[in-house]
Amino acid sequence: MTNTLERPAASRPPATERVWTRWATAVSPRSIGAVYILVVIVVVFSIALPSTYPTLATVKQVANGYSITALAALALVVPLATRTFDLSFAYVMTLSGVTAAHFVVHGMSAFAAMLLGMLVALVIGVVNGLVVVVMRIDSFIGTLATGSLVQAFIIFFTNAQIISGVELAGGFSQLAQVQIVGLTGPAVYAVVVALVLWFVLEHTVVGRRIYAVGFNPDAARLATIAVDRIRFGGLLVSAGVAGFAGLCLASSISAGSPTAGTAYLLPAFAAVFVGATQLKRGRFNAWGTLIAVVMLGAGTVGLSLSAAPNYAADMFTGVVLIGALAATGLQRRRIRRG
Amino acid sequence: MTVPSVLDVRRLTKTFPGTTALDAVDLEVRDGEIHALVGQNGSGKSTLIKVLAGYHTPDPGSEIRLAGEPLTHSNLAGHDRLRFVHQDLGLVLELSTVDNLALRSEFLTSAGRVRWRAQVRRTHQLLADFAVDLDVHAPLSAATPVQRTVVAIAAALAGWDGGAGLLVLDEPTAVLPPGEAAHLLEIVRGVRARGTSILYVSHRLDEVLTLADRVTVLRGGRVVATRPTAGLGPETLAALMAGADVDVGYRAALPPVDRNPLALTARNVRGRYLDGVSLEVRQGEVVGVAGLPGSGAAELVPALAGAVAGADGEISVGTVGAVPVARANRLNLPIVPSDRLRDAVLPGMSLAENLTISILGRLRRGPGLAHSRERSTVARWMADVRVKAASERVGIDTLSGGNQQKVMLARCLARDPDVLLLADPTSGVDPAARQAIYELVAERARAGLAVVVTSADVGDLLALCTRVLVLGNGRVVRELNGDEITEHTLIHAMEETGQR
Amino acid sequence: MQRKSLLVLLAAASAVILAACGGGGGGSAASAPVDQAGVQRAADLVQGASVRPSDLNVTEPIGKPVPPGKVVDFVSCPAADCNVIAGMLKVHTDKLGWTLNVLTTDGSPGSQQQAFAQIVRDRADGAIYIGIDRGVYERYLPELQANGTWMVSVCSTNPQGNGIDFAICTPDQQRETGRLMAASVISHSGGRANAVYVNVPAFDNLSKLQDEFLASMKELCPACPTASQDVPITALGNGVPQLVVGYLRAHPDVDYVVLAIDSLASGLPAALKAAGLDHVEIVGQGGGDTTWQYIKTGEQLASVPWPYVETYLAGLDSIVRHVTGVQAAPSQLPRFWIVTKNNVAETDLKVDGITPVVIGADAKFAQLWGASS
Repeated sequence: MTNTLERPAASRPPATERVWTRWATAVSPRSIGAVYILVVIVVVFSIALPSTYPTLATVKQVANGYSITALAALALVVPLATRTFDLSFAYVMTLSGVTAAHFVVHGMSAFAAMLLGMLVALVIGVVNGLVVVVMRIDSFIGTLATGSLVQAFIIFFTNAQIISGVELAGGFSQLAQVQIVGLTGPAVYAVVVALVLWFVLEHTVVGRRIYAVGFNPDAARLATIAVDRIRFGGLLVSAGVAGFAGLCLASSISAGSPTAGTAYLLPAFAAVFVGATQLKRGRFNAWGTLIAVVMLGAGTVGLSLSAAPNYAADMFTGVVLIGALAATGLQRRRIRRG
Repeated sequence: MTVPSVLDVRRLTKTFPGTTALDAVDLEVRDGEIHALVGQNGSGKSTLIKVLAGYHTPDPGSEIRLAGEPLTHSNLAGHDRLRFVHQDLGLVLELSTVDNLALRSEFLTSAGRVRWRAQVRRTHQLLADFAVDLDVHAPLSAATPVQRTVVAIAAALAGWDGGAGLLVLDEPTAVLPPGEAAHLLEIVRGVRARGTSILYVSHRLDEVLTLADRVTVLRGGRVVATRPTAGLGPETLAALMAGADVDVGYRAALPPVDRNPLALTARNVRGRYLDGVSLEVRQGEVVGVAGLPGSGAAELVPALAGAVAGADGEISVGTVGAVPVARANRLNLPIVPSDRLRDAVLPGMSLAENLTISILGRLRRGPGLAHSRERSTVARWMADVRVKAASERVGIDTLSGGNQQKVMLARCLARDPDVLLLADPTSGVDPAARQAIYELVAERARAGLAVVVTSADVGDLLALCTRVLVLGNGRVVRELNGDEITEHTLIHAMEETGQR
Repeated sequence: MQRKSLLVLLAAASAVILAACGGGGGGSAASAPVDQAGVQRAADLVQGASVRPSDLNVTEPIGKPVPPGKVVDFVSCPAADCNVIAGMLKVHTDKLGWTLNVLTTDGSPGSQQQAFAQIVRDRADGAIYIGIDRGVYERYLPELQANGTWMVSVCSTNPQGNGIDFAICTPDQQRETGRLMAASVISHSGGRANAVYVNVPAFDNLSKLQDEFLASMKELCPACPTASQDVPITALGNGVPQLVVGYLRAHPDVDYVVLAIDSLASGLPAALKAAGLDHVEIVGQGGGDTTWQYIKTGEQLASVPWPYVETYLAGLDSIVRHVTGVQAAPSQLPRFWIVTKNNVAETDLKVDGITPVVIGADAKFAQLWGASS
């Protein structure tokens, strides 16, 4: 659709040139540095491991093996877009998994138990909202505190025991272990969640308001945005998605482990922050986050295929995070001033 | 050449992808001179300053000499004989004056420990030349704008021996009320008297003409003229900047509104600096709020918008029942706030996103956002408020101050308000954009919009207002109507309040 | 700007190559003749170990009344299992009329040292601690000895003696577990296994387990290719399944995964299924509810449960003997047991939340002490 009537034609370049520049911007390393690094990773491992790496099995392993990390990272997109940290999400993951596992083992149907798991996750979301939005405690500290309380409750509730039982191998394990065209459930869910987040953030009124709150809450408030409600909502979203990720995690290990979620804290934050430098620079976004997870997954899988020494994965993660941020983040500052 | 030059810039060119920001600029600042640099937003002033500050690399072929010494990009940054006070002042508002001066110059230490007592003594020494009464231990957020500016200048000049060198002041009076601005000009003259040459960047032509010895005018990245200020009038200077004649003495001359229905009623507004202000504004009326700093003039308008914590009082728009001011943000009562960057601009978002943020509710289509309707709305507003930008998708931070302000104004007007609140509507805005903003507001007022405007720049009130309330000690002490509103009566009325 | 991004890409690429080069090749399956005698011996071993042992191997009753009011300090660890063990010990010290102080640590040497300092202050009669190297508490030993505190070191690499009064779950005592895991793999495969042993180098007390497994594989099935793969301790939260899947995809002939400890299996069956590696069998040691569940659902082949109840009660037993003035019993564990789908139902009998190897192990110890419940 053209708006030539409303736009003075002289002030803008011809349409073809504009399309071209838009493409050039979209595929430049500045906007998708992680994709370039992903390409390098794929090329290097394909040369080093020609028989095992460039295969469909690798694609599946990356998709399946990192799907829960992806869900955990996606949980953070909305609160971070409102510049609110949610450090409790990892504990919420644990909590929902432990809760659902507990009720499944005690004879409840898998579906009802999962609903209960989601419910407790959302309750923690409400608590986070009360602490951060209503009591105005800094979100970094506030959610660290609620996370700590959640962990304490989990230990109290489970007596630090892993909840297990053959009941978990039934319908409950289907959530994460069901196969859909060669992908496990969580891989598909992650894409669906990303799709929903993308639509909401990019194509709805609420999404625009979420970003506005993140960029300048004072200005957003003067522009009639209900800043508190949006930040509260963001914390509910992260609790909900994290709760769901926790269900998937418990389902995939067929157990309710009282520390299961903690391991996802750092990878999820790393992915979502790298994601924020991709595609929509400076904005936490869903597809960028998935790209970041895939990039980290592709490298880690390659390393495990090549039987690399056991320090390699951590080293790789560190180097790649810096690389991805340097390729995009640093240059962004120069451009903006230009 | 008889007078040696401190700064000599030759053929300075700076290109960015797609644009030439500076095109073979020549600029010479003589020893002991106050040299003004003027130009509209987007004329290349900021780029020039950023090149001098070592932030941008100039294109090859450019030459910069400081007291004869050729400088390259790498030794420009942090050069000891070239000091800057940027528009944002570069201060940490959470810290005290002592801390800020220590941060910017040096910490006095012995054996790694900060000698705080010596640091405080030094702070007083640095500030001694500026005749400013300031609690050096209080956080700067508690200081007035002029006090902050003085701290920034003192910080920039710390450790300066007074030899040949250049102090660059970038829009130092942009946010200062007139009396305060005059004080600052005295301070600048004092700095020059101690042997420092000054490059003075400003939008305020009267200031430039009274302060500077010579002025260089930039337009579209080129030098249009470098002239002595003696014999130069504001009209000529504005014309040089705009490339066409600009009415600096603009008067909206709005028709009387006595018969019009009430648009805004506020009762007994109290808060910081406000001691029970009531006002009534009729449709089509532009009411100014004037007063010295601390009189409550600057605080009243944000308080009406519900943007001041702890303010109370009642407000009603039109004939709707009154609500407490704390809940005024639920009324259709948009405000263009005084501090654009802090309270209005959504950095990192595009021009279009900034413009439509308050009217998103109207741009819904099903569950989503009607992108095409948004684009056409933005295009219409960009044309209406005459925003100059490559496209509606550019980042708001790439726009000049004037264009940003026009977007903020469009954001408010897009809400179809009956009442508009303006605080310092032309701060950091070039004369042409200022003119455009006046015309825009006047046009809306003729169509029935009620406006309450407060400004540290008396020019805004002169240009727009049909009535001006002068505040003193948080109360309305004078009311000026129609022809009574002149620069003389206004300033006189404001200063009178200060005597009490 | 372009140059800078190129540099970054190069750096990333070189890191990848560097890391990739560290890898080594795996063994390939040879179709050497099966050593039937070895397979038979393996089968016999498994057969024998399938029967749950009923004997503690500590049989000497105290024969004297146990003095009440003694104090035992237990240095806990951040793992969930430690809390369970603490609970079990508490039940038994209560029965003896003793006090159990649980000293929590976060696993760092600093917090462990604080715990030992606390033992000194408590003037405890005995102390039980898990997997702590003597280097951590060496400087407290003289004082502890002066206080007469009986030191029980569990599952560390340090031998008994020199201030350690009783050491149990030593690397040598773990050897048999490795041999049983090898036997399980060999007998299940009929001598045609290709196995990988997944080790956690950070758990240095498990080192002899690995040695014994590899040696037994060689001895009982010389034709079975066997390799080992280290996983970093940082992968224990969520990375192990992907590391194992990666290894198995790079070595498609491998069909048995042997785990240094059963907790490494968490999430592994699902990851194997997702990668289409369902045919790979898992064997581990240690046991626990998740393991029993995996064995019940056929996701894990076998596990050699560690006799935790017997280990800690033997430690407590040594303290009981010390304070009663009876000759110390030698550090002894019951015969090992192997749990497969056939006998996994027996794991449902528990002592204070832990499956003992010997049924009624707690009662048997109580009987030795004369502290009947």
